[in-house]
Amino acid sequence: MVYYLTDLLVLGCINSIMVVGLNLQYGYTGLLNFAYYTYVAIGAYVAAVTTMGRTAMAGGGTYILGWTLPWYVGLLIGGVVAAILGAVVFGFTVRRLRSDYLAIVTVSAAFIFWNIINTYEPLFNGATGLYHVPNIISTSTTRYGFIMLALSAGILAIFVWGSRRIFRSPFGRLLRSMREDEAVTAAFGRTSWQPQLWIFMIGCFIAGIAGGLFVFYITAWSPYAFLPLESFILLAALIVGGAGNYWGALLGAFVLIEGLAELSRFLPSFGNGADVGAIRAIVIGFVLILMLRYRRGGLIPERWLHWYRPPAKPVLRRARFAAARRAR
Amino acid sequence: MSSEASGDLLNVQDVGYAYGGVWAVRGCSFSVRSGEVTGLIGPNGAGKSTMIEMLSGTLTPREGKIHFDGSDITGLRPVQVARKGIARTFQTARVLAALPVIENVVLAAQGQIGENPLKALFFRGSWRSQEEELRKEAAGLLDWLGLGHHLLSPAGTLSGGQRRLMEIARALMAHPKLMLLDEPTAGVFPETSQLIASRIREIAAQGVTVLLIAHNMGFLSAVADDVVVMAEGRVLTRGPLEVVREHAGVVSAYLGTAVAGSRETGPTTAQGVSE
Repeated sequence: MVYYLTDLLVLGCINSIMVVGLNLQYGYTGLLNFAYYTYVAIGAYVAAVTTMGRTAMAGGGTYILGWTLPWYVGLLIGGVVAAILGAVVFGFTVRRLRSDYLAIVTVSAAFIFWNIINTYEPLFNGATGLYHVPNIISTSTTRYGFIMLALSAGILAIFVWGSRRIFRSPFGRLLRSMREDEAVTAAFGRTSWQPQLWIFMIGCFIAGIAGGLFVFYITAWSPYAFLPLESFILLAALIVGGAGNYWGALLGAFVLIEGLAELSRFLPSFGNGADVGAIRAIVIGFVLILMLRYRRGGLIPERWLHWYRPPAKPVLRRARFAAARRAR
Repeated sequence: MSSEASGDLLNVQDVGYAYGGVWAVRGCSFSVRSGEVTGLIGPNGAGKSTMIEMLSGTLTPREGKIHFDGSDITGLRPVQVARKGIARTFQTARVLAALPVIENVVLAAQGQIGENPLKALFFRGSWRSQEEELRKEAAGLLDWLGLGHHLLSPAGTLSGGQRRLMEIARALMAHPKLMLLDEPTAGVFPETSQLIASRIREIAAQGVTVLLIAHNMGFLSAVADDVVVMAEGRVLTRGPLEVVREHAGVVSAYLGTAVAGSRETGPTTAQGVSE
């Protein structure tokens, strides 16, 4: 039971880190990046190949680097490589494209990366993937769970703190303004691409770190761990939780990803095992549609965050929210 | 340039722009004197908005030159034009709907230290006091324009008139040399429009040059030192409103040539119809 709970919490924290990073890109800035999970995968692969050495896998396998760096260095390199790759993709996509078009191109990017990694074996051992990635510390399984929980919760706390800092800063305001209307920010002398590149790279860095943590926890990674569908699930979690709100990102990750995954255990078993995954995808889609229809802002909307809370009485505030709903 | 001597802040020379094959503006020349409020008027399709879009850099003129404050700004992009000291409002007010009104306004302030990502994240001390000052200034501006009670409302909840006022506050927040106001009173309640007029006069009194598009003659006579009349992509005439109203070309542009020919006297006619 303890093992089950720590496992749940570790995965919850790692998923939350991913959603927090995605929130910087989509929630704060409005960049719809369906290749997000690819950066998680890059972080995972790089963290693995920089720490596992050449002898870890029984069958050998072919992969680049094969270094034996300490885990924290590998984790950091994974994040940095993801950020650099993010900058490259940004140069080809975000600088020229917006909204739907950006979404289409990022979906294609996700498939391209997936196919390269899946078929080009010298890179990350192709479809077989990497396994026996060493734990960051050798200890019993239960204790390893606790250690990973402390680590991922700590890193999550740092990233949430950073998100909050950005949200409350002029930089965050600039990003939000660009999300709302780039013609306005241009009319007041702000070029869009620099701040957007920064936030895109920060988001990809966070994705890479999350991927590294993930691979150190589950000790294996293969192309089937990052099917393009995963990005959609993260995005759904963000929208359900409340895009633009860092607490919403956290809540969405726990409610949608962890909550649904665990609830599906209590379904009566029927058909073959794969049906449960399909049911889960259907439920996520259904929840997403309901949220978009009845609560566009998510469970915790961004507007709750505007930190200079009105000094007015709660009654007035509710009245204004009613007005905001009518305006939409 | 010779125009510098006569105190022109903005000088437009033979500017032309065509949408596809149709020239919306052609051979258009006028200047805006420093510290004055200049009105840009003309019937629909005269090219006023196209002119404003060219001045703000959204459209690039096909021909001609635009000089602002001693430098050539022809063909600069909106970002660059804004950095030269031109702030604008939009024909249909553009608000950042999800952001509180005060954020909409503070955004426009130039040179914000905290927009640097690293400083935003790790050196809050470097921008905190500036941010405080800007917020105070924005709150003051909004109060001055009668939006003091709406500082924290999402801008999307403002009414049409309030959006216009907020846009003026936003443009002022950038401390511009020249403000381009595209129909600041369109669809605005008459009393609000009086408020806008008096505020524009006060803005001009503080040395900010204003170029505005307007259709309401009452409003124009209250704010404009000078009006430039455009019709069919050209400047017909310019001068004080009372003089311009008597100009035969203006009357025919607004009322048609038949009326201009048969017309005996009267500002009353022109006023009656053009309002």
